[in-house]
Amino acid sequence: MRFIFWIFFFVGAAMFQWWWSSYLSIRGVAPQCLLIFTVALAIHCGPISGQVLGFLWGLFLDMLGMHLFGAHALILSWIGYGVGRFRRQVDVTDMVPQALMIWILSLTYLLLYNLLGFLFAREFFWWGWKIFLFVPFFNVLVAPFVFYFVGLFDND
Amino acid sequence: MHKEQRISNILFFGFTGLSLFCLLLPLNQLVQTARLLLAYSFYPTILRGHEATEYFHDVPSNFLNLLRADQDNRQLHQELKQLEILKSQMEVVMEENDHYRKILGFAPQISYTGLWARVMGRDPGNWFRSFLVDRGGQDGISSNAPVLGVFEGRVGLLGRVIEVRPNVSKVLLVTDELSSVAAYLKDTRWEGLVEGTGGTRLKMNYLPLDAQIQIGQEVLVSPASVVFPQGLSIGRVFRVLPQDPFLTFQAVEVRPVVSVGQLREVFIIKKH
Repeated sequence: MRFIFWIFFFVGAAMFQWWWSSYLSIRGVAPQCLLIFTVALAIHCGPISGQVLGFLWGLFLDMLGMHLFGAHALILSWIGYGVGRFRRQVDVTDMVPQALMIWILSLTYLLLYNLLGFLFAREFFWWGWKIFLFVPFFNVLVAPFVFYFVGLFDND
Repeated sequence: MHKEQRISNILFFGFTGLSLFCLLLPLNQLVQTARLLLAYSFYPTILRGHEATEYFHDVPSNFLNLLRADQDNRQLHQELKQLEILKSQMEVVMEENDHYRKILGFAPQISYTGLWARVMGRDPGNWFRSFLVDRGGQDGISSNAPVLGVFEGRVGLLGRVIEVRPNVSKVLLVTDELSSVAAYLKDTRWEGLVEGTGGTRLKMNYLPLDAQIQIGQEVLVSPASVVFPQGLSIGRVFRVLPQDPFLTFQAVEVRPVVSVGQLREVFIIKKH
């Protein structure tokens, strides 16, 4: 039963990201909901859930794009692992550390993707300053809602 | 070491290995199979999601359109009668035209038909690379089919179909770094290669150094293009890029005719 729930959770979050980036984005800028879901899941449910779903969501994002199949999967699984391992050291119930963590991870995500582009495709997949500046900010705004939602399934 | 920590460490190395395998060997059969499997699993869900969103999105406008349709219908009936007469005249002219074409030995004219498709999903990372449309192989779409867009009453080249599934296709935009189109500058016939930059603008390379280029000059698809129909508008010259002393050509920045970000519908050409 729990397995079926996680499948629905995975598909639901993936579709939510697709829907937002397709219909609600402002001039191409939409929050990286799957990144926030991965972070929230790693904090509330541990590194295993964070990593597994982060990896699968990453593959979904890779499937939607044309470049670097595996890059989103790699970054999200690393984020799921890292956040899950050090989750006890951050008080995410407080808005400030939560926002700071999401902001840093969003920038890390964008930079890592560019770095992987340089390593594996010999070019930087620079998304432009608009995305680099606004997406992390957007992510910070959306994060409290995602954290609250994922908190409902907290294992601890 | 805790059990959870041990499992998460194993998963970390496992997922890292899998991801690196995909990144290092993107053309490997296993990676391609995984990609196809994901596409087949998710495209139907995305298609249904798109249909549901469009359905609810269109409800208010459909109601208004219904009222307008009745008025338009009456007016169009009148116009139709006149067009029937014009059509019969045109058929005679076309027959004549074909006849003279054969006599003069001109190459047969290639005609294109196509269909409209709705944009249903974009590359979440970057809107200017690719998107999904709600038409696929079942509608007669084939790989490499040119995709056009209409923006503010102007028709322009948008990209080409790169992946075809039964009900869904993926379009690679001209703005993607992987795209390139043989093109020429209108009136001058200077030929070059238009390439995507991954952003809103395009870059036209390989223009002769002595080419006189004006801002706003139209860039059209060259007859040398195998994939795209010749003479189709790609965009307008936005800026002449500073000349590189080590290169024997000059380049310009091109603003595409069609604004990808505001596009909801595209026209896909089906070749006869």
